[in-house]
This record gives sequence, structure tokens and C-alpha cells, in this order.
Amino acid sequence: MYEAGFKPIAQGVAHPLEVEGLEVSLGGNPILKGVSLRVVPGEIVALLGPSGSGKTTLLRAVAGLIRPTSGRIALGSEVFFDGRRGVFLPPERRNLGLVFQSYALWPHRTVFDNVAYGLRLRRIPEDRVRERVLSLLDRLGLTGLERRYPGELSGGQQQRVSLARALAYDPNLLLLDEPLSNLDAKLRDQARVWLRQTLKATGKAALFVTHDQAEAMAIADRIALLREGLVEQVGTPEELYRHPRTLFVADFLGNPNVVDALVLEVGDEFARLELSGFPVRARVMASLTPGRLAKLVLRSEDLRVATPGEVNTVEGELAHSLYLGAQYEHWLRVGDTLLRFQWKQPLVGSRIQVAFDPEKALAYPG
Amino acid sequence: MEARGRQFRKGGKIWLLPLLAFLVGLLVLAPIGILLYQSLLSAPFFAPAKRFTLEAYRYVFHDPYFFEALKNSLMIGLGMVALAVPLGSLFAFLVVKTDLPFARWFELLLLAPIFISPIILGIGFIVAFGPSGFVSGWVASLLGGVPWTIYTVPAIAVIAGLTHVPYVYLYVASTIQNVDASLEEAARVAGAGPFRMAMTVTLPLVRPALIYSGILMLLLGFELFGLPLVLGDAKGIMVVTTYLYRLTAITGSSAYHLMAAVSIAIVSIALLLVLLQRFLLGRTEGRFVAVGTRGHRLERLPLGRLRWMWAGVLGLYLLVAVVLPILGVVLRSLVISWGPGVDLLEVLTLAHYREIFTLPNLSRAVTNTLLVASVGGLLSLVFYLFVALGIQRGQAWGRFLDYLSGIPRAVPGLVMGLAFLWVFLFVKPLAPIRETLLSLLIAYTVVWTPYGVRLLTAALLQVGREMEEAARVAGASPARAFLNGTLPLLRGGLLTAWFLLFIQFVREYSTGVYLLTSGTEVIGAQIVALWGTGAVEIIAALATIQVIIVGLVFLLASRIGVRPQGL
Amino acid sequence: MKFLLWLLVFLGATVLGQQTRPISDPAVVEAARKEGRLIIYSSTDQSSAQALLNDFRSLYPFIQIEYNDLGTQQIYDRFVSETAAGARSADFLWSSAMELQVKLVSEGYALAYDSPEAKNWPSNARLENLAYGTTMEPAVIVYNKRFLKPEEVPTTRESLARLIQEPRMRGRVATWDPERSGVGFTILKADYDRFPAFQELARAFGRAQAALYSSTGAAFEKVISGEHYMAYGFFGSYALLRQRTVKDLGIAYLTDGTVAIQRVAFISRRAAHPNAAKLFLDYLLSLRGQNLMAYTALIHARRESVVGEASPKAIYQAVGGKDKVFVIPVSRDILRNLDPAERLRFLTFWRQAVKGQ
Repeated sequence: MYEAGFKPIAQGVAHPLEVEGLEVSLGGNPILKGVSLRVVPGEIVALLGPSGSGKTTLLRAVAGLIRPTSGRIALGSEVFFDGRRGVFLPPERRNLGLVFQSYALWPHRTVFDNVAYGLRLRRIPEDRVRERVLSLLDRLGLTGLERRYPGELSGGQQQRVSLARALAYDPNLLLLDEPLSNLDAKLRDQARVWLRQTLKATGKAALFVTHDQAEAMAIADRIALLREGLVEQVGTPEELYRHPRTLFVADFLGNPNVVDALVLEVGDEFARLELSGFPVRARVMASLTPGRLAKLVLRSEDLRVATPGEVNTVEGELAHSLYLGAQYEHWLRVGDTLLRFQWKQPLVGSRIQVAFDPEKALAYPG
Repeated sequence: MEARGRQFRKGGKIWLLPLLAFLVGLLVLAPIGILLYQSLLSAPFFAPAKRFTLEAYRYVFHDPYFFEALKNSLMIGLGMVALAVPLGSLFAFLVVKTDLPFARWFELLLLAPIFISPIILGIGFIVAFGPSGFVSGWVASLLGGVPWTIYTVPAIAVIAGLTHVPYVYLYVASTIQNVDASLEEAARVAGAGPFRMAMTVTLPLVRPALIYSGILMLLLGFELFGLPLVLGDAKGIMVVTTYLYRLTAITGSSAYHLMAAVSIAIVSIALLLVLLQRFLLGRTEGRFVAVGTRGHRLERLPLGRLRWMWAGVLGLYLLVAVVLPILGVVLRSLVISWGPGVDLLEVLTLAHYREIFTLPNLSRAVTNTLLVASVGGLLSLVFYLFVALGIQRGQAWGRFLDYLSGIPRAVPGLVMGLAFLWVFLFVKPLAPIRETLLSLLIAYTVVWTPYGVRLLTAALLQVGREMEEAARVAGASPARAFLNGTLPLLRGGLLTAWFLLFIQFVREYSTGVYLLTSGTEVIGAQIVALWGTGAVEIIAALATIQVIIVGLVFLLASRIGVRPQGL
Repeated sequence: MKFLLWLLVFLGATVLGQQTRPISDPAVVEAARKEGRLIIYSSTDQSSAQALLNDFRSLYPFIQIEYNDLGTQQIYDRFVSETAAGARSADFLWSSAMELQVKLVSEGYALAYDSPEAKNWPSNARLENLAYGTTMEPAVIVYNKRFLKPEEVPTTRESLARLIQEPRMRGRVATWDPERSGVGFTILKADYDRFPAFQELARAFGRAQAALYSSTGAAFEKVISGEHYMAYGFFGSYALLRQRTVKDLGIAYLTDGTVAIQRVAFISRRAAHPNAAKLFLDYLLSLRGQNLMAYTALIHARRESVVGEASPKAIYQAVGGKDKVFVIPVSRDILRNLDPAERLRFLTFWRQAVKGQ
């Protein structure tokens, strides 16, 4: 479970986080309308969703910074909140680690004191505090910065100090609020890998909020996609990507083409639809009605220039081509719609045929 | 959180800041300059026969009474710091951050001393806690004696401290609201309970406000006039301001050079204090740039079982420092005489209120006062805004402005008034405005600069620069960017600052004494004049009406959104 | 009863007085009409002066009066500064700070004017034709009847000194602080210069830990509330005024000699409206004006013939004879009081006697 480096202060029993039927209203507005979620120790779960979906609210409710209206939150046997029994544990008693989006480092304290804060509160003897803080700073690549003030650090360094502070007192659960959003784009790619590795190395359950689906998919073991206060789907990145239960999920992950198509015939697994006059086959993701319009999700990476003889094809005129370095991004006008796809070669012409596998095409009610 | 300072170039108009600094310098240094000049002469500077000499300083620095006065003023100032800063911060925290019961009422009462003239507060304390006071009488009947006296320097220091709590409260409360909530939340999550959080995170972050208000307390301590006058008269307790009266008694007529020497000495002390303030702040300045995210606000901290205890503490303070003295004033206004042996029911009367309306020029005084306070307050607000902007954004010029704006309050009001009289008399271009309200306004504006500028600095801090920067990027000039970007956000703070200045201008009395002519009387000066003839009951009646009016205005103002601590 | 008597006399005098206008040169009146204004700097508080101003206005409605109620020090400061700057200043100065007024006069600020009303004016109430004493205000003892019975209150300095030695009087006595109040200095120094018994009295103040005040109002307030039982040396005029409303207040006059102050008035040589000022001076000295001062304004008339509560006759009666009243003369002699050495002489005694320094 543990990789070398992190010695827990107290060997505890593994605690899963259980959120049940959580409802939160802020200022009279319902934000979370009944969310349930489970995070097991060692697992990294991403809370993903558009702004206003309630993901940050959920995180803050788990942290104890918001008081929910009903539901239950528990970490193992420790109940944080129980609406029915009127239990509410204040944040300082939950022993969680929280990395804020703005890092929230105390400007009047040195890096050392920032990280040591939680340890000192727990009356750890000073020599052990020193030992732990310095080794933690080492692990996170912040050696030698302990006397600096947050204002003197770069964004990336501040983020790591924030993480160190959250980890210092060996919390049972780690919460992170948009941990990478304040970093430069270039850093972000490396940071993704680093963050996942670091979190995994702690062996703790981690819950983080992000609006960036690529980030969620890269870092998390499982993703909970929220929409307007409810969980739309929970699953591994692959599950959500390949088997999105609703159009919303399909559309949110990746950047697919979503086009209207007329349902012709519905089978068990597949259906026949007409896309701008072209007959195609796609996977039935939810109940479809023949004669009605459906939404067809075609991921751009699943579209390819058709080889002669391919059956699931559409034809169109090339609208734009963008050179992206590694490949071209072509925009094909098919009837009224534009389809986007990548191809290694430039394309010319007014009649280009593009094909896709029926399994990769997802059809939802329109 | 990108805490690095952001360079904000003002762009084209680089002469704007030096011009502002020059203007401010002129206004502040003109009266002080005259005083300096006068202090180096042997006779009034307008007398035909005079020579340069240091004898004024020699006299003052050899006068044991001067040092006694200085010592007393310092002690009072320190007492004010020791009492007002901790209490003001504690109350600000309790009212702004916690679930203290009756918070809004407490706030209104907390701010009451600001609305009342110090002379009147002093009278109130005498009527309540003086040897003949009703509280003293009640305590004496219980304990057999009165365990306190209000006529000593420590007592005056305590009373001054208690009555200046609102100033500290205002600064600290507004700063507390600016503290980035996530910094506090981080402490909570790390394991700190509400009060641990307050002490280890909130308090250090409002340190600038504490330093500002502490220095302001010291400055006000030197300038204190009304309280020592009323309370210190009997025992001849001398503070710097009342020492000036002494100087006159020595020669029988005004010894301008001596008065000027004393004033310059005080100004030097004030400069030192401003330097101290910059030093205390300077080291920490960069670290307190809290780019306040206005997003999430923690729910109010629950105080638990101690809720009512804290309410009691606050209530006790209000009782002693506000309610009882005001009651004393109201009582005095309703009786013919008072003290042991007087049957209060027998001496109740409304005669004093009736008499107020027979006071000549009262209506004119009220009109003038309101005019100066409202319009004048507005004009001086604009002036202070420029100065605050200059301090915030100018680099070296900003520092210069900072020093300049800290000085005026320290010079005793009477002397400033005299200096302004001279300015308006002898600077010929200014002569025509001497007998108008404008001269009064200018004097008030200059004298209240430290206070007004600090108010606006606090307001500016609350508004980030992003709006303005966005406007600049979109193509707006610096001025336009400020008007369109920052100003709308500043509105609340400006309104509040104007309201507070209004109050101060209504209370002001000593500065304008020499500038008043029939036609430009103000209430404050009337009160001083009435005190001289001993019409205490009339003063009390005037004060009661004043308090009622201001209280109503305050309630009205808070209805329309003025929240003093929401600066 | 006494009040009724005075009331009758007052009514009679008013009836008579209403008929008499002040004697003023018609040419002056004409010239004043053209001037149309009068600027006064005065230490007499507005409320007290209002009766006089109203009456004056009824006589000369064409004169618009600008009445500036200022402290004695402010009058001096402003007048001198404004005059030096050549700016508009007072036409008429009326102040109870005798030294300051005489100083200004002797420095040439006053306009020479022989007021027709001053024909028989007492010689100690005028400085040539430059300045005139307009009131005669005795320094009295004010006490609180709740704590001191009228019989107990002494009327000589000696018996007063004895009284305040009593333990119950410790801290219960108030008097002027000559070091912080100009007019207080004047009164006490005159007492010291003129009445040898004052020295023992001063020492008695010291032993009784007397409280020293720089303003009448503060001292009176403390007497009214009972914090002090009595106050020594304050203006009888203010005392009379307070006594009207505060029945507990008692006034006692010293029969071994009473100091009296005069409010000095003069016209500025550089007055912009000299004729109006002359009219006002005439008015103040006239029977009509003095009557008003004796009855309504209670600021104590100077004119010997006036009958009333606040008149010389009443004082002589209370004190026991004209010779018992020492009126500080309006003369250049008083400038001695401004001499630092002379001041120090008194103050050294005072500090030693009262504060033990």
C-alpha cells in the first residue's frame, strides 16, 4: 500500500469515505440535491463537472466548511455529519487535509511554520515536528525553502507547500480544490503525473475537484461527474469515456462531435440512423424511438478517412484544415453539420469520405 | 496566490503625483510653517520689532511644567493604546466574525462615542461617575465608599481609552472582513478551533490595522483637549493642550512664540510616530497583500456556551463607557441641579430644552454645521481619496504623502486654528475666503487628514486592482480606468467614510475658533463658549439632541447600506 | 419678598427708562446711519448680551450688528492679528480681561471719544477718553445651601480661612487658578495686593486642598452638584444668573473688602464703522443700557445711580459700604500685571501658599 517515504504518524485502520444522500442549500438555493459517493483508502476520486454543478460545495461539505441540510457523511466509523440525528463535527475535529485552490498559505508564516502548524496543534514534540516537516519538504522537492515566506515562492512551489501542509499531520483523507488550475499550462502536464504519483505514494484516499476533464482522467482512479447538484455518473475514466451513460457524460469527456441524426431502426445493441442523408450504424446508449431525432456522439479520434469499401461512412466537403504539428485537424461539412477529426495527411477536395466503427458511435435520445 | 507586488504604472501623467504631493504639502505645511517661523522669533511675527532667537524653545524645554504636560499626554496616549486597541480588536472580532447575540445593537452603541463631543462625554462621566455622580452614589450606598476617582491622570487615561474604542473598532473590523477566508478555513481544517484560528491567523493578518490604530491613539492622545479640560480642571492636571493656557498666564497675553515652539515640538513627536508606524508596517507590508477572494465566507464562528459571557463583557463595556455617561448627559439636561441631597423628581424640567431654542444664532449654527459637515465632508473626502491613492500607488512620493498626512492631527486644535487664522490673514490671495465657511472647511480638511486618509486606505485595500487593470487593457486611460473600474466598487466604502467624516466635522470645535465670525458659527464652538459661562445644562440639552439626530442619521444610513465596518 | 421689592423698582425704572434714550450726538447718529453696520468682539456671552442688542436695535434699527462672542484671549489674538494684516476687524471691543484691553489701548489701538453719557463717569472707570469700564462685578463667595447654612458662611477673609480649615471642608472648596486663567489672575492678584488677610486665606486654601479652576462654569457646576460646598472669587454676575434657576445656590459677599472687576470697552481706531461704535458705547453707558444690565442681563451696572439687583448700590449694601468695594481701576497701572517679574512675584507666593511649592 505504501511506497517508500511516508511513515504514518499513527497506524490507523483504513477508512473509506461514505457520502449518502447529501443535500446542501446555500442562501436558500439548493446546490446539492442528493449526492452519494464512496471513496476507499488509496483511491483517488475526481469530482468533475461544469461550474455550478456543486463539486466544490461537495468538497467543502466533506471538509466541514459548509453545513449540509440533510444526508450523511462518514469516514469509516467517524460520523462527520448526520442530518437525521443532528450530528455535525466541526472541521478542526475531522483530521482531513485540504489543499485550497489559492493555496491559502499564511503570508505571515514561513514555509516551515505553515507546514508545522497542524503538527504543533496536535502537541507533537518539537524535534519530531522538525523531523517530519523537513523530510516532507524534501520529498516534495522543497529542500532549503523552509525559512522562506510564501510571497517569495513560485506558484508551483506554493502548491507543493500547500500539499505538504495538508499531509503533515497524516490526515485520514485528502481533499484538493482545483489543485492544478493555478499552474502554467506547461507545468500542468508534468504536475499531473507528479501529483498522482505523490498521492498514490501516501496511500490515502483522495478527493479532488476539477473542471478539467483531461486532468480528471489523468489523475483519478475514478471520476464522479456532477451536474446541477446530482451525480450523473461515477466510474473509472475509461468507463466514463467509453460507456458514458448519458449524452451529458459523453459530451463532457473529450471534445466529441455531437450531431443530430434521425432514428430509422432500433436494435438491441445497435441502431440505424440517418446522418444528413447518410445511413449509419451506432450504439444504442439509451432508449431510442424510430422516427425521432437522436444525438449522435462521434469522437474525433474515432473518425478516419474511409478506405474504399467501408460501409459506415458519411461524405462531405472539407471546410477547414488546421495544422497542429503532430497531425492535421480537418473540419468536414456534412450536410448542415461540421465534423471534426484528426488525420496525419492534409486533405483536399470536395468529396471526402469518413468512416467510423459503430461501437464507437454513441446514440442518445435527441 | 500571487503575492508579488504588482507594478502599476500611472502612464502618461507623471506630473500628477508630484502635483498632488505639492498641494498636500502646501496645505499641511502652511500652518505648520507659520508656526515654525513664529517659534523662532521673539515677538508675534507681524509685530514690527522682532528678532530671530531660540529663546522660545529654551524657555519651553526648561519649563518643568512642559515636561509634566508632555508626560501626562504621553501617559494618556499610552493608556489609550493599552485599552482601546485590545478592546477594539476583541469587539471587532466578536461582532464581525462570531455569532454574538445582538451584534447589530452592540455595533450601534459601540460607535456612539464617536458621535459625541469629548466635552460632553466628560460631563457625562462626571454626572455618572464623579464624586457626586449617581453611579457613585449607588455604589457608595452598597460599599460605603467609592473605590474610584475620575480626576487623576490614570483615570483620564482610562476614560480616554474607553471612549476611543470605536476608532480602533472601525479600522480593525473593516480589515478583518478583508482577510481572505480561505486562510482561516485552512487553519480550521488543520485542526484549529475558532479562537485558536483567530489568534494565530486572523489577528496577525490584521496587524496593519492594529498598528495604524495604535499610532492614531497616540496622536489623538497628544491632541486631547475636551476630556482633560473637563476632568483635569480641578486638580490642575496639565496636558499639552491645557499647558498652552498656562503659557498665556505666564505673561498675561498670548506668547505666540512659546505656543508655536510647543506645537513644533509636538509635530516632531508626531513625525517620529509616523516613522515608527512605517517601520512597524514596512517589514510586513509585502506579506500582508491579501488578495481577498470574496468568494466563500465561513459561517459565523459559533461561540458555544460562552456566547452569553461575551455578550456580557461587551455589554459591561457599553454600560460603563457609553450608556451611563450618555445617561448622565441626558439626566443633566433634564434637571436644574443634581448631586447628593437633591430630589431628582423635584428638579426635573424641560426648561433647558426650551432655552435652546432661544439661543441666538442657533439655527444658523446648525445650518452652518450641517453644511460644513455634509458638503465639506464630501469635498474633503475627494481630497483624501487623492491622497490615499497617491500613498497607495506612488512609490517615493507615496511615502512623502504618508508622512505629511500623519502630522496634522497632533497639533492642538486651538493652535492650528490660530495658525490657520494667520494663513488666511497674511497670505493675501486667500484673504477673501477667511470669513466664509470655506476657510473653516479647509482647516477641518487639513486637520482630519490622518483620520480621513486612513479610512480611505482601508477602503482601497478592499478593492483589488483587477477591475482597473482590465479597463486599462481595454484601452482606458488611468483616470477613466479608475472611474469605471475601481470607483463603483469603492462606493460603499466612500459612503461610509463620508458618513464618518460628517460625524467628525459636526463634533469639531477647537480648530475653527479663530475663523468663526458671526455668520459662520458652528455648534461645536457654541458648546465651548457655553462651557466657558458654565451653562452646563444647556450643553447637555444640546448634546442630547445632537446624539438623537446623529443616532437617527446612523440608523437611516445603515438602512441604505452604510456599514461602518464594511469599509 | 425681596424679589417682589426689586420687581416693583424694576418696573418703575423700566417705565422711566423706556422714556430715556441715550444721549448721542445727532451728527454721529446720521453718520452711523450711513455706516449701517457694527462689528463687535465681546467676551460677554451672547445670551446675556441679547437683551442689550435687541434694545439697541430697537433704538437704531438701521444698524446691523455682528456680535462675535469670543473668549478674552481670542478677542486679543484675533484683533491684533487682523489689524496687523490690515484685514477687517472689530469696531468695538468689550472684554472682561482688563489688562489686555488696557494694553491694547496703551498701544494705540483705541479711538479717542468723549461719550456724552460719560460726563459723570467715575474716574476709576475710564482711561482718559479712550476706554471705559462698563460694569462693576464683584468677586463673591458662591455656596451650596444643601451643605452650608447661610449663617455658617463667613463674610470676612479671616473667618473664611478658619471655616475651610474644618475637616469637612477638605477638598470642598474651589477657587480660581491664576496660572491658567487670565481673569482669575487679575481677581486674585488684586485681592492679594489690596487685602493682607488674603495671604492667610491662600494658605488656608492650600491646607484645605482647594480645587483650582480655569473657568467659572466648571467651578459652579461642581458647587451645584455638591462636589464642592463653596467657591471663592468668581463673578457675582454669573452667580446671580445661576441663582435664578438653581435655588440651592447661595451668594455671600465679603464685608472686609470685595474686589470688583470692570468690563472694559473701547472703540478701535481703525474701525470701519466708528460712528455706530460710538452709538453703542453711548448706549452701554446710558441709564437705559445700564438698567438693562442691572435687571435683565444681570451683568452688573456701573452707573452709580442705577437701582437693581445687579447694581453698585446693591453691592454696597451687601458689602457694607462703598469703601469696602475695591474696584480695579481702568488705568495704565494695571499693566503692571503683565510684567513678568510682577506676575512671578504673585505666582511664587501663590504656588508656595496653595501648593506648598
